[in-house]
Amino acid sequence: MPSSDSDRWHPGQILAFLGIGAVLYLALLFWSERLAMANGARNPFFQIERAAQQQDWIILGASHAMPLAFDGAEAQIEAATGQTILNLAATGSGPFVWRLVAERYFRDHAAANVLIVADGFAFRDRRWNQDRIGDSDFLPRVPWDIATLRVMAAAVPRGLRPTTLANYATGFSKIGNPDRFKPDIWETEARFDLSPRPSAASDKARVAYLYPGPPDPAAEAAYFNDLGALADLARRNGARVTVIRPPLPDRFRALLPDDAAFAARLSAFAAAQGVGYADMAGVLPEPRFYLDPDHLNRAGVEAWLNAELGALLRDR
Amino acid sequence: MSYTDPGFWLLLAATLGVFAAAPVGWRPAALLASSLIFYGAPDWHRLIWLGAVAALGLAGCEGGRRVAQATAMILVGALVLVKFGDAAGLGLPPAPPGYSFYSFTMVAHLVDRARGQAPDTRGIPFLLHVAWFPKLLAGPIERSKAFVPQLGTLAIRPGPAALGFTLILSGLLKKLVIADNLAPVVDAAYAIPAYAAPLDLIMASYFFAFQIYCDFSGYTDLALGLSALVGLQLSRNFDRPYLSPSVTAFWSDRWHITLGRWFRDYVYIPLGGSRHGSVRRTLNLMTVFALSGLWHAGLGYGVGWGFLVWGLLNGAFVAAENLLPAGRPGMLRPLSILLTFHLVLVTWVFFRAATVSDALLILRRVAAGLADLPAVLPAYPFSTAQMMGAALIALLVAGELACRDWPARIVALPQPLRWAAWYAAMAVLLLLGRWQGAGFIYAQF
Repeated sequence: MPSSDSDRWHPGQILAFLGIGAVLYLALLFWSERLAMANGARNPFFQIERAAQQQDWIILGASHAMPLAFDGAEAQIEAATGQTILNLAATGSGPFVWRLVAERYFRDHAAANVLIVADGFAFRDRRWNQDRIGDSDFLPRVPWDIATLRVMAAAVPRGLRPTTLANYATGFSKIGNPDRFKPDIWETEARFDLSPRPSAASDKARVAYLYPGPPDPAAEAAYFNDLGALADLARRNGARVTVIRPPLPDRFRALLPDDAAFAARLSAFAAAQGVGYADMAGVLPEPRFYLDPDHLNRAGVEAWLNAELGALLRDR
Repeated sequence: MSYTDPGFWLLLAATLGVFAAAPVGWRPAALLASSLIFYGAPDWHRLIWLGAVAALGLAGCEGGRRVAQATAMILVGALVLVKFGDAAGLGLPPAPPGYSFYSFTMVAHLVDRARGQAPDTRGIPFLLHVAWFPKLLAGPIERSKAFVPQLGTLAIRPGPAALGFTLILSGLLKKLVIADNLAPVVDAAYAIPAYAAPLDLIMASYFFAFQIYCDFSGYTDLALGLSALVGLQLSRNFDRPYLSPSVTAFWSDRWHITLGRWFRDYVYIPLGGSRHGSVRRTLNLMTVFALSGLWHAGLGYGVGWGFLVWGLLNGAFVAAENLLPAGRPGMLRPLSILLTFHLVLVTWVFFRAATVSDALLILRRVAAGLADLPAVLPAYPFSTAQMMGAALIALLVAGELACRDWPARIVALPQPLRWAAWYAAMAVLLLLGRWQGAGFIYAQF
């Protein structure tokens, strides 16, 4: 920067100022990366970084797939099925995110099966897809590596914001993460053993949150394309793909806009792609299986495992 | 375009590059082009509003004193119309951000022209005076006689650039680190005041006083700093307002100074000011403060009775102070400062609360909670955000107590210390700044 005590510019001083600044920035970035790794947990990119090279199953999806990994549930499922499982689901994520996660995973990992837990809301809005990557509770938790940078760079022409790529490349949001000292655990996990009384107001608020706008056929088609690309990628890497709809309480499912039509489109997509499909949305209709309006509690996960899910996972 | 948008910083870099390469005579044109890109990039329709105000102003300046005055009245009328059009159900399109501020700038120029106090400015200098992007959204409200003469000597010089850089850092620290870290605490408590604990309401009210100060003065620091980079000096808009010994001084010399002077020169004095006895003076004061309150209302806030109450309360405090015997506070100065701050604090509750009844509820609950404070305070489960907010406020107050003009003080430091201060500021910005936070509060008015 310029010296204030002179009317002349000193290029050497400006370069020195910028150089020292760059070194200090890198030091902050290094410290922030260390913190992100120390407190990492649920972020799918973090899990890939820590995962074994080969899995029997990887699970992709939004928050409805996350209870399968809550508080020992994943180990319980692995023991019951004899399969190794890596749950890469992320809250509020859609096919664009799942594809990106899969692209990163298959760069240096392998899986025999990919289970995609698909929700209708995830096919509707940018916020669950392209914009979700840049969220302050997501991007700062993504470990820095060249493979992830390449995957993100390739996603820019598909709609990932260039600022998100720049943010990841520079580690800017990681340095500024206000939750840098907190473990990357979704607070809902703490309620895994609860089974609260259903609330119509909570159901309504949750549906309004998940489905903020009117249906957008063009957006849905684009996200089905992402899902198709994901299935192709998995197949090219030797993995079998299965798409399921997750269990939801009856009273909640009745509120979902366009749900039956979405299920039909998803089923048609699976048939056209030649991937497995199972609609499990109605297998656990009772509220006792849920910790809030729409997420499975421990009893729900166990019931699902003992019913269709266990059979599906064992049937490689 | 937001100051936290990477696009803004790219535009700034491009502007400085073009500016430095351009001949001196072309530099105002380069700045005008950048200003139009800055304002029009998010929505080009904004340029129609800006162009309309500039065209009206230009036409008003061409026709003599009465035409200038009439044009100023038309601009004021248009401002009232767009502010309250939605509340009146007129179905008018909403005015773009900054509309008030460039309307105020143009009204000042027209009235000053009518009074023979403004230069005869046309073309690019005239347009740049209205549209200069650092001040476009929320001031300072610059007078043409101070702004336009500087346009002939624009240059990037080391001294002013260093001050500009420091002011930019100061503005970003105030906005992104202090204001935007206080905002969530305020929002949470004020969302449903009936559910918030009294101590949370007390803290939120204190926090809001500093949130709005840092939000607005942070914007001003950015405007001053960005202008200083190209050799433009804008007017000071804040001068440690919460160290003011009276509400009168708060409004005349310390808070949003350029708006206060605008109201003084174009409303209060034309109404008669203090020349016609104390009753008329009080009436004029209350009129000015009511108008100031109403100016904050409208634009999607409905009529905004809370803003009107806020303005009238401030007017009442100033009027009451005028009735007190004049004298230097002396040893009572710290008490005067504390009293002034708390009077202003009460008015901010009406400014921030969603409705007047919410504001009254907050004040009632705070008053009821004060008696329990000594018992509650030691064991209160303060959140991390509350503790961090309190620490940031303490640092800000300590800094303002220590030094009136710390950006200038930093620039005057020896180079190693100056660089250390800059690096420290940038590190705090990186670590604590809320870069995904909301826009500036005053840009919406």
